Amino acid sequence: MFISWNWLNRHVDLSGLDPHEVGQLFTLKVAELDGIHDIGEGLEAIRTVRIESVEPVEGAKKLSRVVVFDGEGERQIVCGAPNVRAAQGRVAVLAPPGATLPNGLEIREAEIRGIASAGMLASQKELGLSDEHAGIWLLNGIEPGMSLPDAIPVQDVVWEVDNKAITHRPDLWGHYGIAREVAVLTERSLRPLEPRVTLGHEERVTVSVQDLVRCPRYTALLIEDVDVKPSPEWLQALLRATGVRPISNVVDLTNFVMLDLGNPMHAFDTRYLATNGADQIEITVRAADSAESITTLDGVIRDLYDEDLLICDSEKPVALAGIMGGADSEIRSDTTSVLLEAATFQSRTVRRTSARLGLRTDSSARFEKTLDPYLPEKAAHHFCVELQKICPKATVVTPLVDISSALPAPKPIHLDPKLVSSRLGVDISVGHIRETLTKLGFVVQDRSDGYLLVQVPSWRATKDVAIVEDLIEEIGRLVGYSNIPPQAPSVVVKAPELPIAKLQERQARRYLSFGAGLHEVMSYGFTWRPMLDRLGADPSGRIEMDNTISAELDRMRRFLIPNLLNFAEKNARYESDFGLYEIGRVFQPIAPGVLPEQPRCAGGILVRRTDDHERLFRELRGVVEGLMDALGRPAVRLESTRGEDIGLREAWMHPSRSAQFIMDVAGTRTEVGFISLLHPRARDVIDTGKSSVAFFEVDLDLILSIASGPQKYEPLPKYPASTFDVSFEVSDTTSSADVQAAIVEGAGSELLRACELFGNYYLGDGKKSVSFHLTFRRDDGTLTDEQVHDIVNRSVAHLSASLGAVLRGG
Amino acid sequence: MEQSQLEEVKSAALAQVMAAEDESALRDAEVALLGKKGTVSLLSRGISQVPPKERGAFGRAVNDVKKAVVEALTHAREGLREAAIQSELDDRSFDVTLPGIRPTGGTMHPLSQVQERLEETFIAMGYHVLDYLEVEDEFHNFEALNIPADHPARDMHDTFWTKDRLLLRTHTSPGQIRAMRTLEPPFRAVFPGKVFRYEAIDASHEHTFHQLEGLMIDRHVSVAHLNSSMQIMLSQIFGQELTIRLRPGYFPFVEPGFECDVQCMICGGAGCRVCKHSGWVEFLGCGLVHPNVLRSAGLDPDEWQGWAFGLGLSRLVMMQYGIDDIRHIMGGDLRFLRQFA
Repeated sequence: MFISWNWLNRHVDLSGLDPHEVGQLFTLKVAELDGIHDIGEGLEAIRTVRIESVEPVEGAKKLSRVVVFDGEGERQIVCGAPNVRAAQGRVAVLAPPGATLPNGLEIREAEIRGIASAGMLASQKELGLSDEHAGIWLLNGIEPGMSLPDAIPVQDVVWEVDNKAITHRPDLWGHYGIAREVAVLTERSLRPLEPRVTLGHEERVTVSVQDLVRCPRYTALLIEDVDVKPSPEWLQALLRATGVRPISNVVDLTNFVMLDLGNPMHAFDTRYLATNGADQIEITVRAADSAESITTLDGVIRDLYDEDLLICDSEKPVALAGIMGGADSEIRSDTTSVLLEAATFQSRTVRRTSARLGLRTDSSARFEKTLDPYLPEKAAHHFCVELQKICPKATVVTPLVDISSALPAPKPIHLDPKLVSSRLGVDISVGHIRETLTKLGFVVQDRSDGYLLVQVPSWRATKDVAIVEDLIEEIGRLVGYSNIPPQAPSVVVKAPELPIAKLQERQARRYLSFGAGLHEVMSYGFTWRPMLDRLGADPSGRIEMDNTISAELDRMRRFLIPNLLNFAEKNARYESDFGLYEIGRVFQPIAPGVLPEQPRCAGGILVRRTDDHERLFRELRGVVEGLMDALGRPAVRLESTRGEDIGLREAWMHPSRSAQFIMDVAGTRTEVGFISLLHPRARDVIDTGKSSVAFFEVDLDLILSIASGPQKYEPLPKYPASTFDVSFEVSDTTSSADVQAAIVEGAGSELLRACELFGNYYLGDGKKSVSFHLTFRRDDGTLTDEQVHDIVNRSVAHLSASLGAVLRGG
Repeated sequence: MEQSQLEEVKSAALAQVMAAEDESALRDAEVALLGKKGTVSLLSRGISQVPPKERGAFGRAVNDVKKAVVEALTHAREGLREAAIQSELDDRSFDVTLPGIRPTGGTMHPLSQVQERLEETFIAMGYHVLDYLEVEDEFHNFEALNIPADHPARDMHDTFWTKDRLLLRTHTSPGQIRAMRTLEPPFRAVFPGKVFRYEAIDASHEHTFHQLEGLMIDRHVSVAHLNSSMQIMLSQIFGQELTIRLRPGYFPFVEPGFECDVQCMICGGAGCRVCKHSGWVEFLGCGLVHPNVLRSAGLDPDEWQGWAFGLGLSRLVMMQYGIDDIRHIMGGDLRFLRQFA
């Protein structure tokens, strides 16, 4: 919201003060200013001139030769603006040679089409005053021969108030409320609003409000003999400075009062309001019914729902309450009779309707804040007083028809002055508290028990000030928070629990980044839908969003992998060997309306320029095993069962080249993650160049929920170990894990200490060769070759019998 | 064999050793002289032809020759080795400026790096570090935080809703309620995490970003305490003594509420481009916990008070590294990520 310094001066004498310094003070003690803008600077050289004659320039359709009177004499100007043609006798604005416009343009004597031109007739935009540039600026009621800033208060300083900072302060949505604060900050006095207008007695307007909750107050009055014309220049200047385009005196004054007192109002042309037999306008405030619609001022037909509130005459809706008037009854240049509305509407009603229709107006923004129900009456009088100043014939012919629920009585708050000092952490005297609150309009009474009885003024009482803490804030901010010396809080003498889960997450991150050499990424909590679709994945089982930024982000992620695949594909344009990982929450729906399971997971993806998929799988498997060791959970191991046998069903998982990680959770065999290659069909659509892709995902929360087993020391061996290498030929569908298990089982001896695979070669014809490195050792002596051979022979025999393995060497 | 013959063999042998110019020639000489059929080795065989009386003297003489040859070999070796060492020391062709070959290393996301550093700071100051849910309910995200339905403050929190009327948390503040309901007061805690706002993305706006929320609950908490805590905390974060200021700010879940500014670290408060010539940089929002919030979380406001703050982690990361486009944070681009090794 824009606040004009000139405007504030109507309410407080701020002469001699620097608007920038006062603005700083306002930021520190009231609400943040997003900016302070000087407008109309450097316009002293610009002069008002009367247009004496206008002639077309021969051979140039758009140009006119204009003679103007500048107060001293005549001068000739060549002007290209179309509106100059009909402007003879009007007063315009001249930038004479030597003047520099705010956009940097330097005005010089010129010759255009052989005609000398002594300056330029300017538009508002060229003077940096507004965006208006349809033609030259033509003034009303201004004498020629004046310096522009002397003629019109175009020079102003505008504060840009951060709207978010005054969400809770409906009183600050107008200049008068801001002026009240500024008066306190600068220790100057706030002028009271001007006296009331003389009302009439004709009973030509009736108001009926059907729902006083949604419309706590509705006032209306009828004004006759209105002469609709452009507003005086001072008013136009104020509106322009605050970002509002002047239209006509009546419309401008409704905006003026809204920007002044914060209460939006609406003016209807009574010609378009139905009357009853007694020539009365019957206004009804009622809920819409869902079959209705209204065409608003902006020309849009709005379909209504029963949650919307309407202002109606005896026949039809004429305004959408608190948001926008109807198109038919808007003020026109020939309007002479005006019905003025000043009302208060329930914030929720206005908010809902404006949100649903996507129709945010200056009016709805204010009603959403819950306005002071005492304000409409003041606003109506304020409007009429100002109208009569600029349009003296205008007469209020009716009383102020005023329908309202019981207006709320001032809310008292019992304030313990000691609490103010205690909460602020600095001593504040009772006198200071009383004085500060009084200046802000609170009524403060001393009570015999030492408490203060504080009555909240109506303009602060709607949503803003209700409890003791709110009063403490008022005092604190005006004392100045920089005047409260910092004081260290008393130490909590309790050892904090170490954030184990966090520390483990850090451990995982360190291992994956610096041990496994992967790069950490962060992706959205949404799943990237185009990726899911390309993968052919069924999106069900994922939380669906009701509102989305784009259709591509319509569900929450259930797995980390699809987003990682998206990143992998993007990066594969530049690199062919890399790994990515993410640690983040995934979302598993439980039941509608119930918070989903949201475990922290770690997911990783390897992109390698290789065709050896088995090697790639092993590399990634090693990464996960290393992760489990780093987390102190070596018990988590890969289950050799293939994915297809265990229900890994996402379309991007490879059914036969995948497996799951298993651990024992409270006696139950639990899946904690999976590892997989990309499904061949997905491989066809994901473009990673010549590189292959493998990925894993594990549930960190689940893994870390199980205590890690104690790590125990093993004494170093006293006797040397014997080693023995064996190779077997087996069917290529026999897993190395099965061979290994059979070797151990066949050996049946604790002397076999380790059995490690070191070769796995495919021989063709459905055969492969697997080689193991066996380590034997006794704790109580040296093994003989015979003992080792005996054990190996038992294994070989067992393998031959159980797996049909043929010993190839050993 | 005469003594003179022995001398001949000896001098020939020593000459051969001395003639060797490198290790391999030396090894050849060693074999030719001391090998099984070496000329010096063969001298011993001549002993049979020597009369028994003289054998002792002959043997000694032969041994002397052998010894002299072995010594000569050893000496020659040492010389060669010394020459080799000297040659390596004199060698200037070794290029120490060739680029290092690094072990294949990954990177940690810059946001993780900054977040971890902050967490360490808070752990050292006795804070709990907690991590709360991202899909939240209306109660925790709004109502319990003194933001009832249709409160205009909900405008500041354009919200992502799920089809079943849950929401993506719009701030880390629901953690306040969850922390107060689970931790035994007095306590201090921070909870960093992802938050979501329903808004279009551009270089300075993201619908998903990161915040860090802090909460302290104690029996007596004042604005002076908050002021001090923010000053200490921010000085810790930036690793230098900072000047801060509090000014009014509106957040429905605190009362009074503040914007906390840090004196510009670039210009020291004199005013520069970074601080938009104000001398101050807005850094976080904070305030004393609103009594309604304490009540929602089951604490009696007459017994317990608190302060809370929330700061934008993503923004801090961008400030710290001079990142000009917030989309990089969630963009997964290795060309970006590799810069933070």
